[in-house]
This record gives sequence, C-alpha cells and structure tokens, in this order.
Amino acid sequence: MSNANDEILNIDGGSSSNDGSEILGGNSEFPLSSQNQGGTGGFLTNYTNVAKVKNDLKRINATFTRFNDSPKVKFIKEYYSVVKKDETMDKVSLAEFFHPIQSFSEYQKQTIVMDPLSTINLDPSSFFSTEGEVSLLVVKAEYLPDAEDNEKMVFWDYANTPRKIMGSIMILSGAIKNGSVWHGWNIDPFNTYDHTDQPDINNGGISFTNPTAKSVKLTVLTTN
Amino acid sequence: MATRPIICPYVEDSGFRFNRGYLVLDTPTTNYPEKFIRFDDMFENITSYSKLKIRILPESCYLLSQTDIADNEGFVSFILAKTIFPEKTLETRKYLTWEYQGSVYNMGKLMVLSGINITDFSSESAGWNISQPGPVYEDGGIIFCNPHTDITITLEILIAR
Repeated sequence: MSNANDEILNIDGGSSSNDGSEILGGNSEFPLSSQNQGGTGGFLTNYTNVAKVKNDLKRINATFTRFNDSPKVKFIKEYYSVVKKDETMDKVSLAEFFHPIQSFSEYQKQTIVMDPLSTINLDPSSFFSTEGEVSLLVVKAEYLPDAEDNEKMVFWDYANTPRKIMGSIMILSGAIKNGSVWHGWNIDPFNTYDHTDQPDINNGGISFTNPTAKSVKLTVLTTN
Repeated sequence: MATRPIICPYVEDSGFRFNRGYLVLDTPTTNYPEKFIRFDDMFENITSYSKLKIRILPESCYLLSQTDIADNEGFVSFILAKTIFPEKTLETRKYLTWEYQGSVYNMGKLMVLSGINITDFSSESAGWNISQPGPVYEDGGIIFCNPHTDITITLEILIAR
C-alpha cells in the first residue's frame, strides 16, 4: 500500500517542468471584475516547485495571528515568563512568594487616577505599629489604549533620593518586623502622628508624577 | 519503612501570594482568596533578556551590571529580583540592601522595577541604568549587599530590555 505522503503532488500551483502560461488581463470591454471600467495588462506566470511530496514541505513554527509577535516578559499564572510567540524561553517562579500577615499588620489598597502633568503623594495610611514603614508596596499602572510607548511611564520619588521611573509595574519589599528598627520603606512624609504638619519628602514618603499628556490609573497596595 | 507523619489540622498563616495571575490575600478559611491586583494582563515588549542566579555570602556584595543587555545608554526596561533565604530564617531577618545611583534601599523577598529609557523634559535620560560603572557609563549598576553575618542569600534575577 502506498504512503500518502509519498504521493507526487508538485506543490506549486502548477508544474515547474512546463513553461508558464499567460493569463490575460481584462479591459474595458472584457473586464475581469463585474465593474466595467479600467483595464489591466496580461502577465506571465512562472511556477517554482517548492515541494514534490508532502514531506518535502518545510515546517515553520508560526501562525498567522502571532507571526509578528515580539518577545515579551509576561506574567502567566504564578510565573514571570519570557515568551516568544507560543514558546516560553525562560521563567522565574513566584509561586513560593508569601508575604505573611502578622498580628500587627495592616494593609491598604488605593486606586488613583492621575491627571496629565500632575503629582500625587501616596497616602501614608496609619501604619502606626511600624512607624509609617511598609514591608510590601505593589504599584500597577494602567495607561490609556492610545498612549504611545514613550507615554507609558510614571516617575516616583522616595524620601530624598534621585527620581526613578516606572512602567507598568513596581514591587518593593522589606523585612516584616514590628517596632522602630526597620528594613522596609518609609511612606510617611509627616512628622506628626495626626498628620497635621506639612508633608516633607525628607522624612519619607513616596510621590508619583505623571509627566505625560494622558491620564494614568495607579493601583497601589501597601502593607506592613 | 516509616512514612512521614501528617499533622492535622493543617495550619497556615494568612498572607499575600500570587495565584492564577493575581496577587491575592490568601487565608486558611477559603478556597477562593480575595483578588487584589491583576498581573496577567501586563506585559513588556523586549528585545533581549538575561537570567541570573547569584549566591551572596554573609557580609558580601554583588554588582549587577549587564552592559551587553542594556541599550546604548546603558538602560534596561525590566528588572526582577527574587531572594531565596535558608529555610529556617525568621521573617524579621529576610532582607538585604540594594544601592542604585548612590542611594541605599531595602529589599525583602521580591523586587520588580520597570520603565523604558526615555529622555524627559529636562533632556536627561531616565530608566534603569545597569551598565558597568566607569568612565563611559556613570552611576551604572545595582549593588546587592547581604548585611547578615550568618546567612547566605541566593538571588534570582531577570533583566530585560
């Protein structure tokens, strides 16, 4: 019994062993389409035999919908993965990441929509047990669909340190600890517990600046 | 041969963890933890990347610099650093420090930084500069330091541009 894959198919739309044939174009009296205006010239076809049998066809790893996809860093399930089309090239597992909630722990989630060319101070909440410090700070930025690549950014300032940049995500962490000796992030720019004084970035605190002409939505989770 | 004893009831703390594309608050009382932030709708287009695993000995430092991954200005757009501490380490001791452009910051178990290299309105480049510090690239690189005297820390790092 013959193998179907060995069947001579001459996969080229024609036969390369013969000369090409001319396909006549239309004209105003003999249109190719139903529209009776305009004319086209004839053209000569040349066949190139790309495969004689099915097994000769070169298999390429692509689909039409994802053919032009560029490599990405993407979060999939519990992994940060480097993906190219359907292939996972590398990944870092965050499945074992666990930030425990202790007896003294508080947390706060805030959602902020920032106007163009504006700055906001992150609300320091009331992390009294840790004197304004947090051990986990997660910030997600969502940009408008029509934002260009160079408009997808936010600046952030922490205490009295150089200004830094953020794209779509930022995660900062520290040790989980009660008391005054800390190894986290001080997000309280106030001197007083009741926050009646003016905020001073030298004391601590985080501010975000939107330098673009488009609004940005920030989702911020802080916990100590 | 004896099998490992199973301790009941199974006790686990509440806390934040990643679960099926979300950052969730996991509690032992529910199978459906509360979702806080969605992660699986975010992605960064990249052209090159590098993954490293580093062991930092007690009271030692490591300079992270990947000039060849960075762009012409020495910048990258994505940095992920995950720490692995020895099993019995207390939560209060799970930290290290990182230094960037002369300022020192704390880090616990995870850090993710992002942001493209752009020229801002004062015409100064902004981004995450991890080029080899020297006369060509100033202020480049991130220095991770293990401040503990008795703990070796393993760092898993993913860098992309």
